[in-house]
Amino acid sequence: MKNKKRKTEMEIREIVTPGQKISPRNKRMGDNVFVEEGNIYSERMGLVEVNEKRVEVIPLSSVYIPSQGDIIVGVVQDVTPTSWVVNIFSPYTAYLPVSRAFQNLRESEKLELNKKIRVGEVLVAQVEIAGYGINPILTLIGKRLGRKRKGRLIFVNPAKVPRIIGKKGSMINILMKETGCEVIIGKNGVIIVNCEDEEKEALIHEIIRKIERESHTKGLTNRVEKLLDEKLRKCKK
Amino acid sequence: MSYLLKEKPKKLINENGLRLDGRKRLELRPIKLKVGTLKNANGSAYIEWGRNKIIVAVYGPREIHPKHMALPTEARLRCRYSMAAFSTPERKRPGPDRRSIELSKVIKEALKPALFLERFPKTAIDVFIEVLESEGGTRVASITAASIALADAGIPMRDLVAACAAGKVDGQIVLDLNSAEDMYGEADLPIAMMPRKKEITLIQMDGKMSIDEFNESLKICIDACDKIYEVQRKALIEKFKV
Repeated sequence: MKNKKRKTEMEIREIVTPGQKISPRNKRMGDNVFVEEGNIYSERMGLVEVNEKRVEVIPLSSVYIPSQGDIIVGVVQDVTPTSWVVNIFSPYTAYLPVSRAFQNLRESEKLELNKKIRVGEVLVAQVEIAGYGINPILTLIGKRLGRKRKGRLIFVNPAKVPRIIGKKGSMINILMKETGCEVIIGKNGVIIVNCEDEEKEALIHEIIRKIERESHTKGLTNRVEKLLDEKLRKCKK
Repeated sequence: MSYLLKEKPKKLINENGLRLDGRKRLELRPIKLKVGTLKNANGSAYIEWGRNKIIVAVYGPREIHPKHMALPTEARLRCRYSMAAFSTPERKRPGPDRRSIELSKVIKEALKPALFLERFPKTAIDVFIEVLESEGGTRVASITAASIALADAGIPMRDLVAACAAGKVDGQIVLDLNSAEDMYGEADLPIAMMPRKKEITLIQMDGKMSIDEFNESLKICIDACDKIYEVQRKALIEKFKV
């Protein structure tokens, strides 16, 4: 039953351009639409998703704007006396205060922050504070957050991140299960892939690029599954 | 090349009503638009409008430098229009000159009303316009290409901006002037607009026209903008077609 509903929703997807009329204003507005003179218009290039109640445009390209609670992958850019400056590949630079990186830090350690986390290190962090035009504050306190020292960084357009994760994590779960690699996806479009052997890392890189290119097409999860199967068989041989 | 003239021809429109490049009075030059031509930019577009060849790159919203340029409530839109040294029949001295600085400004102001700049405070959106070859009407071609490059970059917009010029040549109102008509004609009226609501974002005039002639020029320009709008939308959708 659920599957049926999903299919009909998918079929309504259509590419729209900025300023294109989507529907009269009798529905709830989702993301990336605006109202003018009683009609709902798209404000971006994207795919329309219309159902009985809601209108939404899924963008095809965007930049990352931080919002509270996002898990992101960033690179340490600078160290200041009280915090680290983190490049999160967004128009806004993020700050990681000492108090949110380490609990119970000794006074003597606070004087040597540059030894705790070095410039150039990769962090998996959560956005703790973010707002309109504010530089976000990050935290490392939480599950699966912290420094990452191994793996390959892959940069994708942040608009494609939901597709790489898939519905309820379907896509990412396939990738992780089939290859046995660790894949961490930052909301900002930075992905860490950590595998035992490089061949698999390259394979995941290739597949992520494929998802990015074909994110707006139907039946992608199945195609990816097939491709992965084929390539993995070749790997083993 | 035959209609790129160094001296004023006797007639810009012949007795059959055809112009130097063989077009009719209200005929646009062929327009070719391609989206996403540059990989390093967030959004890009390439336009061939007659013999105009222009490439546009959009970066951003990104961090603004120098920092003091940041606006607290909206993104700063920055435009740079520049002509390549080989873009004209005679070599053009490279670098910004009086004309390209002015064009950068008017193009910026033509694009600005279409953007939701308030979504990205303290950031910059950079638009770089590079004219590779010019044949009159580069400002309208630049605006047309820049607006789809902005859409390609995923920047929220109220509408696309389409632009076109009309003018008076040999006493007749013509659409889409080429360089000879621009140089030796009597008047030139470039217009940019957001076609959905017919809002004009740029209007300039050079030369002399009567009020009736002006109104007619305006009307044919608006009709042409609607046509260009369709070309723009097609080009954008083309990029993502499977």
